[in-house]
Amino acid sequence: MAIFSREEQVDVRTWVPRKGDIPKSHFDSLVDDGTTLVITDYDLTRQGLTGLFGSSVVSWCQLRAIPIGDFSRNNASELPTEPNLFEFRVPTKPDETASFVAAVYRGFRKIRVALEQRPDLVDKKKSPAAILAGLLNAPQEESQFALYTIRYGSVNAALIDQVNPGAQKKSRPKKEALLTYMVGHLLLNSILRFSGPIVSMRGLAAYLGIDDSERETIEKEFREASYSGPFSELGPYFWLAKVNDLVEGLVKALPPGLEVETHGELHRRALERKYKREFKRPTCDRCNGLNGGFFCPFTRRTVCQRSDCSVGSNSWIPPGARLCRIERDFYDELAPILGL
Amino acid sequence: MDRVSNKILQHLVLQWENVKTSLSRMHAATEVKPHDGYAIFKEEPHQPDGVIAFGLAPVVFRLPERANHVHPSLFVVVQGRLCFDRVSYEAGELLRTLGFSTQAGYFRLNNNLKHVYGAHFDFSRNDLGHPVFHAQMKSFKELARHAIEFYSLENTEPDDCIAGILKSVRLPCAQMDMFSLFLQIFADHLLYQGSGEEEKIAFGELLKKSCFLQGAGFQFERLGTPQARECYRALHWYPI
Repeated sequence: MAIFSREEQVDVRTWVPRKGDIPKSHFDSLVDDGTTLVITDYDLTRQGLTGLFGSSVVSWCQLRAIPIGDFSRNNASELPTEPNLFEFRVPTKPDETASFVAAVYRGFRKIRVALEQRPDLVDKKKSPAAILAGLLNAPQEESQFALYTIRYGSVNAALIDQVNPGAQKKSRPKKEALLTYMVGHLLLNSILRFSGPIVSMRGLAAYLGIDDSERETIEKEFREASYSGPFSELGPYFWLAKVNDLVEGLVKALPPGLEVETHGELHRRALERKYKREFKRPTCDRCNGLNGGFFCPFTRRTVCQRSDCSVGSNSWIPPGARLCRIERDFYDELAPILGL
Repeated sequence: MDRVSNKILQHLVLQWENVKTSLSRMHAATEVKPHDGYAIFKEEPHQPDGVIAFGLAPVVFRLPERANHVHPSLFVVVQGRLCFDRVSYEAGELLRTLGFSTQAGYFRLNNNLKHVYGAHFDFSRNDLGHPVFHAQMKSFKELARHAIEFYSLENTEPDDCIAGILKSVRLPCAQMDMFSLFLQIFADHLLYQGSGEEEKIAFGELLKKSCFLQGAGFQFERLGTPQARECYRALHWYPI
């Protein structure tokens, strides 16, 4: 199945490192200012070139502010386990790999093209959050996006060199490329991953207190809230503010005196009233799926605020991800190891 | 929780996000814990008809004492509650205050933790001798445990610099609900004459967004008269 259309004119450059290649020079000959995305395997020594691993390619890309994805079927344990804003893993299931790569490529291209076409975003906006809010035509979300934008310098030290005031003044295309890199990763690796102003399908199901096997109904009911910006192919994703507007309409139809414990239950009751059937609840042996309302981005399960179910604030969750909590079992098991 | 309190909770959580955003933009070394708005705002059940109340679990800001200081040596613990008018919200989504109380404990960290300021902000409808909105200084030494817990400070008994302060002084003030107090904290510790445009904008944005909540002044005819609006002297603050 073709993943790019003829009109897209994607130039794919491949490199299988071989004995005798000079790695850095060879890599430099393949990338330029127009390079949108690099995908690398971890083990690059199979054809006789010793000492070259994917981590080197990752570093070179980060130095040049080129988006980089890790792909490895056999060395998954060697890939970074901690969150890294400027690196992502490519799924290894054959039916997912190509479509994921294409979606990520298109997402970054979409951002780059938008920045080229809208110089006001590059010239007048003062932060990646402001640029992203402008790019998505959602200025009201700027302050929410800002809560995801922290410590750029500490996650990619090379960016310090890129923006160093002593460095040569950036040409327009270089500035656009750098902003594409920052804004794209902010969106892909942080905002879309950790449910807040934009929620994934699973995140939305959790918020609604229902199982994500009800996705057909969710998509139909919340079509108006669909997110269609960069990387939307990896979704579906939804704007939380629009979801809330739609939920409000549903909740208004509930009997005025109805009292429940959590917003997850309230939302599910509202859906059940409209559809005149019971919805499947999230799987949870603590509350039998009664509460829900929040999503654990690590176990990818619905959780609630019960203290035996999940914990809230955490250094791994961006401050803007207000629908994310960490499932208690995962937290208790791994917190001491991973520094949670 | 019902459909109205659920909607009000969304307002509170969203405004908390705005507080965090402005904080992060006003000073690099500041912090507030916990982050999670859904965890800190809890509806208080069993309220009188027409009242929806939310409690604020303790939140702890870490800030410099002055905006031009580098070291964030001040911990401010805030907790409180807010009561809302259900009827006005149901009628026109007007979120207005029926009542509130706010407690703040300030702690300075040098070699050890010192309790350097504490106040309770309150509201009184018609109690003789009580100004409508008032503050009473008092020791909130016990709130130090939240700063110690959230910031992993050495677990020692803080020195109480305001123990024994006269608690019966009711100082008339503005409606210092929790969101007003957050503004005051930012103004006191994150703004100064030399503040840059970015800091001023971040504060101004939060100031504007604070309009999501109307104060309790509408409940007092005596505060709404033309004389009161153009005067603001103490004679308008006390019930007769």
